[in-house]
Amino acid sequence: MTALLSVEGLTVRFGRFAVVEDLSFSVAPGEVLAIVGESGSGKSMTALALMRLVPPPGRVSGRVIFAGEDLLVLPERRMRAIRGGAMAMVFQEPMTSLNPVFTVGSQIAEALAWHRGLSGRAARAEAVRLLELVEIPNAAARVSEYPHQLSGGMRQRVMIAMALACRPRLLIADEPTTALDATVQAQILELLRRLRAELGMAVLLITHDLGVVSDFADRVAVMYAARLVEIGPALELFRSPAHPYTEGLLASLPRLGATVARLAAIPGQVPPPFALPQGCRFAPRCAYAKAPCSAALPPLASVGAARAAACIRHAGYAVPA
Amino acid sequence: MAAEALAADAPPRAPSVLARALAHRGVRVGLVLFGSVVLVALSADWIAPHDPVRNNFRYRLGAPNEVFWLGTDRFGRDILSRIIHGTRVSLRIGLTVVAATGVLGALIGSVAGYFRALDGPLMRVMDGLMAFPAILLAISLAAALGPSETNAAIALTVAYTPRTARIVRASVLVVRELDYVEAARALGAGHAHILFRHVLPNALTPLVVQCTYIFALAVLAEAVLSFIGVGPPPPTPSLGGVIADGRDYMLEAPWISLFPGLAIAVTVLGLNLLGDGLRDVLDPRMKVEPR
Repeated sequence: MTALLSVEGLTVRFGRFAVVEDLSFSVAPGEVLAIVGESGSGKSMTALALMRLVPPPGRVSGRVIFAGEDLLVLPERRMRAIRGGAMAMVFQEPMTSLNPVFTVGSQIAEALAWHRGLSGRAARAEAVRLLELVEIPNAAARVSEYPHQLSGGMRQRVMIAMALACRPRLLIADEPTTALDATVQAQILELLRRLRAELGMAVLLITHDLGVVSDFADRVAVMYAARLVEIGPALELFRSPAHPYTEGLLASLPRLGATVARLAAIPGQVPPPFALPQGCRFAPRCAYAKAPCSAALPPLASVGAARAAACIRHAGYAVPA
Repeated sequence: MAAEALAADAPPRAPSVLARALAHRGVRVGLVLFGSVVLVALSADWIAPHDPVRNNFRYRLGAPNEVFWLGTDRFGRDILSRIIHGTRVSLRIGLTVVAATGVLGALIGSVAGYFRALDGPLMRVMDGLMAFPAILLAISLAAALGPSETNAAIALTVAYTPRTARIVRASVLVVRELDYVEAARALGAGHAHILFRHVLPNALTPLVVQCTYIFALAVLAEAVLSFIGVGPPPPTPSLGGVIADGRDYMLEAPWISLFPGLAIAVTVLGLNLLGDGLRDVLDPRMKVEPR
C-alpha cells in the first residue's frame, strides 16, 4: 500500500530554533493518524507546514510527498489548487474562523468556485447539500445566515463543510474539538468518524486530548519538544507505551472506575526551543532517566511491528553510536 | 410574552447599525445640520433669491434688509445667494476629496498592511507627506497647480490621503492575522481574493468615521485656500471666497464675512457630530463616555 502522505525529515525553523525537527511519518489512504502532544510541542506548526502556510520568517525543509508530489517545491499556484482541494484543513477556533461579513453559504460557495468551477445557483445547491452532509438542521435556511447567528458547534460544522467542499483525500483537523464543550465535542467527533467512513478520506488529527485519540485514531504519533518520540498503532500504544512520555500522558488521564487520590502529572514543562536540554529532551522530566540519556539525542528506533520510539531504554541504556 | 418568544422562529436580532445610529443624539443633530446644508446646496438654483454673480452697484456694501436678507458685498452681490451657491462648491470639493482620499487610502493602506514588503516604501512616502502640516502642503500644491476647483480638490486629496492610508493599514494589520483569513488561505484563496474579500471589508469601519472628519477638514481647508486666493477663482462663489471678499470691509460691512463663516461652522459642526456619533456606534471599543 503506497502512502497518501509521506513526510520525511520535516523541519520548521524560526531563526536558529527548530519548532519542528526531523519529523517523519506517513498516512495511508483512508487512515486516521493522530499527532499528540502538549502545547508547544510543534504539532500545530506541523499541520501548517504540510499546507505550506508557515508564517514568515519560518523556514521549512525536508520533503512532504502528497499523492506523488513534493509539496515543498511546488509552485504557489499549484499549491493553492491543492489547499482546499485534495488537502483541506479544519481549525481549532470555530468562533473566529468564519468571515463575519458574509453568509456561510457564500463562504462555502467560494471554495466551490475555485476548485470545482461551480457558481450561482449550482454552488448554492451544493452548499446546502454540504450543510446537510454535516448534519446542520434546516440547511436550506441556514445557508443564508451569518456566522454570528450560529453556535460554536454549528460553526465548526460549517468549517467542516467548507473543508469537505472539494472532497479532499486528506483532512487535517487541528484540534477541531478543543474550543467546544463536551457534548458538542462528542457530536463533532462522531460526525468526523462518519464522514471519514462515507467519503473514504484520510484524516490527520492534531490534538492534545488522548480521549479523542483513543476514540478515533488508527495510529498515533506522539510529539515532544519539536520531535517525534513515539509512533505506532493506537491500541498497542495505549496498551503498552514504549516511551516514558507517552506513559506519563496516559497516566495523567482520569480513568472511569479507578479510585485514585490524585491524577498523576508529569513534573515540569515542555522546554522551549531556545532552552533545550542536552541529549534526550524528556530526560529532565523522566522517571527512568540515567546518565547516558543526556549524552545524545536518542534516535527513533523500532520497538516492535510497525512501532517505533525514541528512548534508549529499549537498547538497555546503551549510548547510541 | 414567553409563548410569543418561543413561537418566534428566528432568534431576536440585535438592532441594526442604522437603527442604533439614529438613536444616537449626536448622529441625529449632526444629520439635521449637515442634511440641511446638503439640501441647501442641492436646491441652490431654486432657493437663492438673487443671481450670486450679478453685480448691482446701487447696493454696494448694503446692510441686511428685506430685499438682501444678509446684505451685499462691494459689488452689490447678494450675500445670501452667494452663500447658498457657495455651499454647493464647498460640498462638491469636500465630497470629491473624501471619495478620492477614501479610495486611495484604502488601496495604499491595504496593500501596505497586507504585503509586508511594500509596507516600508509606501508608508515612508505617506510619512513624508504627513511631515508637512496638511494645510501648508495643500496651499503650496494648489498654488503650484493654479487656482481652480479641480486643483483645490487634488491638493487636498494629496494632503489628506496619508491619514486614511494609515488608518486602513492599521486595521488591515489586525484583520490579516484573524483566523478566518488563515482559514481562507487553507481553502486555496489567492492574495487578491483574501485582501479584497476577507481583509478589506472587515477593516473599513474606522475609515468611514475618518471620512466624515476629512469631509469637515476639506470644507475648512477649501475655505482657507479660497481665502488666500488659490481656491476656485472669482467670481465662483465659494464659502472661503465670500469671507475673503469681506476681508477689507470687516468694520464697515461685517456681514459679508460673518455669515459665510457661520455657514462653514454649521457644516463642520454637523459633520463632526456625525463622525463622533458614528464612531460610538460602529466601534464600541472607542466609545467616549459622556461626562
